[in-house]
Amino acid sequence: MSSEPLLHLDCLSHTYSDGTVGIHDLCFKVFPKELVGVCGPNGSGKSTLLEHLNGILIPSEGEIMLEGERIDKKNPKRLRGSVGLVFQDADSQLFAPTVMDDVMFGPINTGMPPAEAKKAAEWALDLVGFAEKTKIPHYLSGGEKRLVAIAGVIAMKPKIVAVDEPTSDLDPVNAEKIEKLLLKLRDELGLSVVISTHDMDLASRISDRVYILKKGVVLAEGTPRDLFYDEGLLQEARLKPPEVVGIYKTLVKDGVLDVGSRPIMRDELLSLIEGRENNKKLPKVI
Amino acid sequence: MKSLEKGHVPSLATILYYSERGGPLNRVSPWVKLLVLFLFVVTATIIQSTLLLLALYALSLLIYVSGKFPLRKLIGWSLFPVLFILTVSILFIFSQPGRPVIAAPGVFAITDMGLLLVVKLLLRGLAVVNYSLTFIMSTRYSEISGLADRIFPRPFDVIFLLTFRFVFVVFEVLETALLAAWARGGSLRRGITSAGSLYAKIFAVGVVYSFDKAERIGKAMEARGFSGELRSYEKLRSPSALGWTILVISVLIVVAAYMYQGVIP
Amino acid sequence: MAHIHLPDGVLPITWVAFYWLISLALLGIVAFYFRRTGKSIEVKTLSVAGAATALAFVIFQVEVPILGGIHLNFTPMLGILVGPIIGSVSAIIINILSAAVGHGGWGPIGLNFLINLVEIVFAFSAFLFLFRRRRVSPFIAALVATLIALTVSNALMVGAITVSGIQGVEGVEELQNLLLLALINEVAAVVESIVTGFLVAFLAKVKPELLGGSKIEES
Repeated sequence: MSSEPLLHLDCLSHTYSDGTVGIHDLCFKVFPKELVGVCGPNGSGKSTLLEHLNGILIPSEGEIMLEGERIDKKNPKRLRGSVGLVFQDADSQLFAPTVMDDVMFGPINTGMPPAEAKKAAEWALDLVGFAEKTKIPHYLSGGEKRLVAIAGVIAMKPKIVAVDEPTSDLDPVNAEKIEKLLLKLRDELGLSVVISTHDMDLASRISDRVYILKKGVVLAEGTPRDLFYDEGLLQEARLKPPEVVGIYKTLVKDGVLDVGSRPIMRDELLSLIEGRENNKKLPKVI
Repeated sequence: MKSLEKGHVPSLATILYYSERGGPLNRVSPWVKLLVLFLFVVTATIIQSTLLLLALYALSLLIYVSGKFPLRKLIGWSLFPVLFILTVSILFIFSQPGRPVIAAPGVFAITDMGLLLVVKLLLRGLAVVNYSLTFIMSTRYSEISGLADRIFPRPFDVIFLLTFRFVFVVFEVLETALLAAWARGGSLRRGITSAGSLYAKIFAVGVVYSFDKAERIGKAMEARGFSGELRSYEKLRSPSALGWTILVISVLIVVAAYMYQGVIP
Repeated sequence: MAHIHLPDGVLPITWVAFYWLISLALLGIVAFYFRRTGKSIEVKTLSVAGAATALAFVIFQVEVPILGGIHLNFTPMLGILVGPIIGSVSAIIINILSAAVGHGGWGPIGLNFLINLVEIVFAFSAFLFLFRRRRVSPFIAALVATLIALTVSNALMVGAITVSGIQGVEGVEELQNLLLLALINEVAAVVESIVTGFLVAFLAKVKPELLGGSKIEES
């Protein structure tokens, strides 16, 4: 991983007009080609943080540095072209008459001529695997709306894509589609991806690094492997550990597996179970 | 949208179904259809001859039917316009000078000119209603958006496009709220205050939802660098040679009808 | 229906053109106002206008089962919620969409719009005065504001049609014959005032910040 962050939020604070503290003294970094998870319960400041990444919200205190350049009230729009933001409510994002019109909206705003914007939109829709370009957004399914919303952002050719609750309200098939797409953005396009989620299983599967937030403050930052085994930390953050962690701990407690490795993904756990020397009979369902 | 759908109110879902279905009239350029709408409005307003108005009404029906649209629904949808016209004009059937057709001497007299007045107003109004519905049911959603984008100045075009986009969502929200109320006996309520307060709460749900939605839409627009423009890039079919011919002939007919209507009853 | 929805052909063409010209002039002023404001206000204003217009159009489609079934105007409520500037944009778009689905003609949109604008302005002003200045309860403030707005617009409508004349009508009895229309409209206005009162009272409890049509106007 490169040592210089693409985006650095330094000691950011934001207080809403009604006095609510959204985030406080928060430090956040995104490096090139990494997937960062932002985890926390409802009201922890995840969405507030994400809205700062794109310049929708301006911090009351602190600095935002994009590729070494300071972003402030005078130039928040510099972030718009570099950091794409996909909101949790995909329906509110699709406000143009057709899918194609909507995906072209962002590129046009970045100054692309319509013909080029159309090509960018077509490329983005192909990338996310959505073909019905003239469809009316109202008639898309939840999963389709999420895909098109992501396409609308990547058509702008950002360096970072931030997605708020990428798999919420989606059925398992569509959730898996989105998950694969996020990994594709990182692995094939070389983008950095930031996701906010309270789905710890998702965060453990795909995140390179994780921030855990509580009441607008960063409780911890590290890899999923480091953080998700810290019971005390997760309890304080009011988060449940990923399912794999729970199963692993139970198997360790029962003497089936040894303490030591900390599997964070299902495949890792399976390998451990299959590879251990004293192989007790376990149901295949694991 | 079934629970909010009433026979006399054109359902947005029904309109959208036909407009996206792709019937014979969908192939006509939306510009031609729009200009014909304008001609219908002008003709219905300036023509005074009863026969010509009848011909206009018959033409509107013919065009509607040629689009393979449901005639029974049209009858239901005509109820509102008929009611409006009657509300405005019904008393004139007694007061217009003319030969009494139905009379109770000393009490009232319905005159022939009074009846003719109402008939003519009905023909005028319904001819345009028929064609308006034909227009909107034969023009795709994206074409309507394209027309609005090209005709309305900023910011009316943006607001129209946003309205058109979200009217369906708002309808569903209200319908869900209404169904939820009915499921708990809400439909049993009668009386101005009882039913009124129920519907007020349902509409309030719509208000809260709409404003919440507006905030989220605003943020989403800003997040993608909104610069004042929300466009529809739908290519609108230009009028074909046949389309232009129809338009020119229509204009000539309207002009001729206006000039020579004096000789036609 | 506490509203004017004249179909095409009722008003003479000269008056149709006249009302349209006035409406376009007023809308031109509104367009100028929008272009003058900064972009950060514009996004919020546009999205609120779109959402409010969609809402108003939908509510107009809903039949409220009172007195056999009435359709609310919602323009006074629009005035209370979003004020005259956004309200005027909403009004013209609602009129266009309504004409498209056969609720009212295209020609009378000019007059319809002017009547709507009167409703919006009166409701907005009366509500602000009663609710903010006089601290009247939201229910009463909204009820009275709506009733004032719809009564004034009702009178204006009758006056406008009397002045314009109805095509094909001879004689000078238009005014008294239009009183049937006025009466029906006034009854519907009373019902709408009560419903609006309930609506505003409910909003005052759950989302009072929405009752600031003036907020966007003042910013």
